[in-house]
Amino acid sequence: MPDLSALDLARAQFALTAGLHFLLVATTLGVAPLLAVLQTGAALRREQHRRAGLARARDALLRLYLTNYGAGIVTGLILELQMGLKWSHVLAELYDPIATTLASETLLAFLLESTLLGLFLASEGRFPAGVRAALLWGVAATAWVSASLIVSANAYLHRPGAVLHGRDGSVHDGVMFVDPVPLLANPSAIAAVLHIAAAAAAVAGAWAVAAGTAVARDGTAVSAAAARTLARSGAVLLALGAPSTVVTGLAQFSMAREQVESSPPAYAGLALALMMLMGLLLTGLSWMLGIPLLLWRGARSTWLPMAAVAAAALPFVPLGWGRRSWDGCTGRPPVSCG
Amino acid sequence: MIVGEVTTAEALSVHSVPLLATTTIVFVGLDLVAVLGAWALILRGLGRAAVVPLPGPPGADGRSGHAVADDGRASSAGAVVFP
Repeated sequence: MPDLSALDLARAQFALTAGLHFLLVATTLGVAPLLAVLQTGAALRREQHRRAGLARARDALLRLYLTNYGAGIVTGLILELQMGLKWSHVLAELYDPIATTLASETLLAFLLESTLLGLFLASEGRFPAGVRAALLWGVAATAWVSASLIVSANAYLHRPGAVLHGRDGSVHDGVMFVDPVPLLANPSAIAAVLHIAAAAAAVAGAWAVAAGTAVARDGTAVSAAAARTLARSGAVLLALGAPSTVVTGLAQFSMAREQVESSPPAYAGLALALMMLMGLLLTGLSWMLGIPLLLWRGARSTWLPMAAVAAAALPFVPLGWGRRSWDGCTGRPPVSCG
Repeated sequence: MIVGEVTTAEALSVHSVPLLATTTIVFVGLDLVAVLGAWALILRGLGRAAVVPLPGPPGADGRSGHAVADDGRASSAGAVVFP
């Protein structure tokens, strides 16, 4: 058995739980805006068959979203519990920015986002379709604000200087949260949000394609229309999201170097190289599949759903791998990797 | 580069290896139950037929065996199981 120190174990624990939580978050962040688009389309269409197709496509993604949302809450609670139990010294030292961002995120994610989602789910046949579309846009917006706050908290731990030095150039003695702008506009946070947005788009695209091929198995005209909608939107999201993920990920490297005083261990470099390779492979695959998916008519197929379901897992490999390898190195709350 | 001179090691508030090992197993186990459970549900839904045909009269789409309403959901003669 390897001789693990408490720090190694704590880092591994954080890396594993953060990695697992992030797999679910990437899905909900990507699928929520797509759900809102589909609902908006259904609300705007006058033709009955088009509206029915979009509603069918929305429903196909909705259960997927809800399942991930529920599991994301469970894994998120474990993550917060771990932060409080294992890393309380960093919280004590750096309390204000972390507390405010985490508290704001909790209010948004648990209160506002869940309320809007509940209203959407309970309002079928009661609210106009346009109002329900607005509710879904609210769900998507609060999800992204919530994610941005968490990323800001993380970025603050990586690059505290921008927050602590304030806009007027003064240096705060100790940590007293007085200015939210540097915290939210931390370059590290902005870069991370862009990277997450691209990854979430790729993940949502993969899920949309998988859901589309499954819906096609109905064999009805409505389901074929829904399948086409899902497959095409998924193909576009995948083809744009996968390369954007690679590009925005590479942009983060220069920032990561600034944060790490000592050289990361060799395994971290190898893990990151593998993650980049997987990202490039996913990009190639998404482009190769793009044309057939755009041309697909929503016909029933026995092998396509299976292939699509398998493909839906692909974006998660680099996501989970990269998250674990990097967090395992830096062991958030990471101040240094050494 | 250090915030308040706190290093990663100093930030750690629990230093018992057995306690950390136990909580790692518990936390990761709970996470795996949630993640794998959720995805098992999803893949089960994606992998099986969207409509389980039940005996019944021809539906609105003209196919015999089950009826599908305009919104894609089955009528009383059929059962949509996905989503």
